[in-house]
Amino acid sequence: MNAPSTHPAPAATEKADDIILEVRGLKTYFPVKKGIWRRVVGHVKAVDGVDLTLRRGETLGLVGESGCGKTTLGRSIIRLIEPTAGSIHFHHGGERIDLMQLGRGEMRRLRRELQYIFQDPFSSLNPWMNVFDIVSEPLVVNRVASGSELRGRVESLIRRVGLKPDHLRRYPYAFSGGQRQRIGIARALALNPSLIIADEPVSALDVSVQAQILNLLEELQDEFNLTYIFVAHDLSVVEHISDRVAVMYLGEIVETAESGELYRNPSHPYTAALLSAVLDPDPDRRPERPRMKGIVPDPADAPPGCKFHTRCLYAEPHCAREVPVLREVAPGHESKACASCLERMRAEATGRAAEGVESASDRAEDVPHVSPAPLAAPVEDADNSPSNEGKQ
Amino acid sequence: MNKTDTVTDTAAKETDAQGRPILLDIRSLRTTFHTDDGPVRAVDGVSLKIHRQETLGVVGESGCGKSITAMSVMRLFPSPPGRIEGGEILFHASGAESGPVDLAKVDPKGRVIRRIRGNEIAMIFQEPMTSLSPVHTVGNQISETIRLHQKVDKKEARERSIEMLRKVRLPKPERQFDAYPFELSGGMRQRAMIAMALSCNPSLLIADEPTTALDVTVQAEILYLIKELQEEIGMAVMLITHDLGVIAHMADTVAVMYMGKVVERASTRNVLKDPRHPYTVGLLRSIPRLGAKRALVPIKGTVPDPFKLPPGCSFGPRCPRQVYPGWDTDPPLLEEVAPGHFTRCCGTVCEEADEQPETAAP
Repeated sequence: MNAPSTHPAPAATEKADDIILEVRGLKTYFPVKKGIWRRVVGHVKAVDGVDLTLRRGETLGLVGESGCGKTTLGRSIIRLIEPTAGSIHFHHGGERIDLMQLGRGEMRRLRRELQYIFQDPFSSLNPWMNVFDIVSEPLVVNRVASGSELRGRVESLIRRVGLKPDHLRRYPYAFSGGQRQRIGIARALALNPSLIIADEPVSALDVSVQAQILNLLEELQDEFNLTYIFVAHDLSVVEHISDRVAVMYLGEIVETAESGELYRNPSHPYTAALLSAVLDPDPDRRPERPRMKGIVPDPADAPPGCKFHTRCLYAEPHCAREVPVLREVAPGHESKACASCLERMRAEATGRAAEGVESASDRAEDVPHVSPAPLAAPVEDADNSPSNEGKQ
Repeated sequence: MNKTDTVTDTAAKETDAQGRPILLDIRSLRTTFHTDDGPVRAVDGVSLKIHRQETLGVVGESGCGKSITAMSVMRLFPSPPGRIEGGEILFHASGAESGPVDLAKVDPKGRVIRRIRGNEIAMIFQEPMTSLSPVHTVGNQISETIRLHQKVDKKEARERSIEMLRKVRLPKPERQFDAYPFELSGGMRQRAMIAMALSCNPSLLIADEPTTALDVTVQAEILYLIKELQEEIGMAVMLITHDLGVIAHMADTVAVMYMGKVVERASTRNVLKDPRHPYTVGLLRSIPRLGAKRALVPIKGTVPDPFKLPPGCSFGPRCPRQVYPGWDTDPPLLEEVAPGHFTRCCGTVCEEADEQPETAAP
């Protein structure tokens, strides 16, 4: 079962300079209106100063709890939601275009390069259109193809995503969730885009179908040299598909790193809390209670200073005053955690690791116990190797 | 020890390995929906046992019949078109000397089930917003349950409700008593629903995807809470989910369902560490695991059309083992392949026979 991973390695040297997207200081604020005159009384800072750099052919995962602004960020990048401030530079045909400066017409032409896959395959397909109309619409609207050429292109697209040409005359209701998501993917691919933003593309699907769609997305990425922004709340899915992951909290990116590194060495208390809450289907790998307190604050009234300080276990008085900045904690690994917080977090993690090994061996039979535990290998390996910490 | 899932044993005094007496004994339950397009056998011969204080996990993908099994116990599915066509649901109520009640036979609107439902057996659902009334306060809904099942006055019901809200750790319970569900966040609503479900100290809690709509961090808190209250009240939990991670950390035993049938049933450890049914194996291989990057191996194909079920093994068309003769004509039976480990696969026995001829099945 140890087939080589289909995941493309982030060939760093080759792709390092081939940047496709640079987002700087992106802000998307929604006004909060109250009273009979609908006066603006405040703003929900859904995206609040985000910087991102994407290399061609890579997958960037965006994770965070609901309401953290990950969907708004994804949509703002391709101006499906109009950002409030910032710049979005898209590299296309040797040019560096600021999407924020484009007019409607120019933006529309460039949209061919920027496609979106939606979360809900039930509401994102028009129930009155058959599959052929859905997939061909972008080609028709952009006057790319017509007649028999159009037919041919749609058929090859639909085959590529794993459906059959005789599905083309059917309507969305006749398809399962996974098949609908394939239709959505075919539509997104129709115009040969270079960047695809996939917003929770598998979270509405059953697990066995989820794996089919994830594998399909990976194959298509290799085949068409696609760049993905993969928005999801499921950390294990994000870790699986992403080369790099950015963790969002209240409209800000609090940590970003290569996905394996982020998992091995989380360097922000929020990331650590998220990771600790993931339940692995290995009864020996015990979860912990999330290491943070309280709930997400109202985004219209975000805490001052470090936005996480109200939930952080390591918060100190200065956290409410000083606004932390993203800084490099390891090569290619940036975190917004302040120095004192990071230090305490690391010390605690080391202590827990030592303790965890003991308690796990003590209570190997006690399945549903909540305490820290070492990491175990996937199920297939578990039988052959009793000691399997940190296995790839 | 159980032999097979056939309805032979007289289970009045039956206990599990830890000496816990049986609470719910579902035997060969069949629930069918008679739709305009034909019958759908949503639950097709399901046998399950839950002992007191035990947590049974029921896993499966959408449409596998796991929710309808739970709804059959509660007698809450729409009828018509749904109908229980066979089997027994024996519920051993606490202190009942007259023996178990067969919930499959009682009137779904009658006195017997209404005395049990919400009192002895409580249920929580995936989406708390749809199962809490939007026009009544949280407190009213909890005290309604309490007053319905227990002889207490309004004032005491209120006190007990606030006590329940405190138990589920809703902040400021006195104030939240008068809050409407829309004023609470998803996690808080789920807590309020748990408070309502547990307000009468049920002996069985059926939790249908209780954390699917929640963020991971909130999920962990809610699961932890359920576990804690389970120990405090001493109730059994039937946990329905598609998430094997939740199963791994909550359930004592697991039943894996596919197309209305239990295809594998064993202790949680055995199902997750030593799965015998190809569907269970397929599920485990198709989920990404944190910190273990590897290729995902999806189960090929899709769930069959419930109106056109394959005649033999319903998993057969998607099964990688298919080589075993008769898979497409004879539905396999649930067989015990190891002590307490049942699986419904025509391949398992053959495979074991291939590998270990000396211990071949009779």
